Amino acid sequence: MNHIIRKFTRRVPVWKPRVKPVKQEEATSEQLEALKITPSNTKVSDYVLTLAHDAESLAVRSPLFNSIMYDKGGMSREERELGAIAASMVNHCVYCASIHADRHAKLAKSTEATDKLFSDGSKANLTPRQNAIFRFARKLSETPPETDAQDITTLRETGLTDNEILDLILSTSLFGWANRLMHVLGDPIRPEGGS
Amino acid sequence: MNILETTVLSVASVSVGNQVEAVARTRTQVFEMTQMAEDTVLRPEDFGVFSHELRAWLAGRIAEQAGDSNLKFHYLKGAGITENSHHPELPNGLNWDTLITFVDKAANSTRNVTADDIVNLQQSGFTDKDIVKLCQLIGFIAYQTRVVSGLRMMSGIFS
Repeated sequence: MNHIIRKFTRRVPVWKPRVKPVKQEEATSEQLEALKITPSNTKVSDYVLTLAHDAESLAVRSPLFNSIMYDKGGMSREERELGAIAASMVNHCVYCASIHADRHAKLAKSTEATDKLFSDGSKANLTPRQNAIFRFARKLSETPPETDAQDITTLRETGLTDNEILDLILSTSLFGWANRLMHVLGDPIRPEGGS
Repeated sequence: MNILETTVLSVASVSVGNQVEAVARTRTQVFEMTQMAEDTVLRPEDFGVFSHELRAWLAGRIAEQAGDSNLKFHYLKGAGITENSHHPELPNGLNWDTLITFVDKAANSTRNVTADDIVNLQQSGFTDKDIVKLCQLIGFIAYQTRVVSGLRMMSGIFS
């Protein structure tokens, strides 16, 4: 019996697809080529095997994902993860929020920010810089986006450069895409008896 | 590729001398790959049950609901269809209402999508491959509309 996780947690669940993933041993040459690069360069999971149903999209999306989240310069990896977490909380993608909260905590060497976000949501008592980043990312993730001139001003006033703001826009927007795959195509579960 | 001619930078009115231009050039690869993603998701070789015209029509609908009529017209123009065109048809007797209900929910109310929404698509005849292709389209448009919106904010364009 599997238990679907509905509350945000940093303990990463298992992602169970709602459609049948491609069987790797039956994959076409185009699908195998697309599977050579995975988001975050992780193993070939049920998630990427699910996305392999659309090999053309997978082949262009994975390098774009890795570039936005990991290219050098601009915003720190830790703060890009904050954009990812904000989008995932708006779209209630529990799996994405979990993975990226875990990464944020490891990069920050602290669970303080993600503990506060998961317990208090948009009222979390973060540092002024974290708060400006999270608030902007949360508003950009709404439909339609709710960001306004003051949000950009606040980011600049809290010390973000325009290079960092661009990376925040990109990482947050990317998770508008990721959430519409992960949350829509699967469930975050905790297998009974699992750790 | 001239990145100023990519969809996100041109629709966001980022041009030579614009204050965001220099910043955008630090992420040239991202804007090039974003354009490649648009070309692939909207006009794939293996388009399945979603023709290029239908993809453009759905993209325009999602962009409009996200408050971006400029992007909507960009998508429609790319497929040679107009605002007043009747929506392109689905093949094989697939149900239009089932499709559009899912697209609107996944695009605009993502948090409320459940397993039942996927079951509805499957029971209406959409294959798992169709469903993944559809989610890639919806997800990409969500990404692109937000990048454009954010760039406009950076440029001081708030309409």
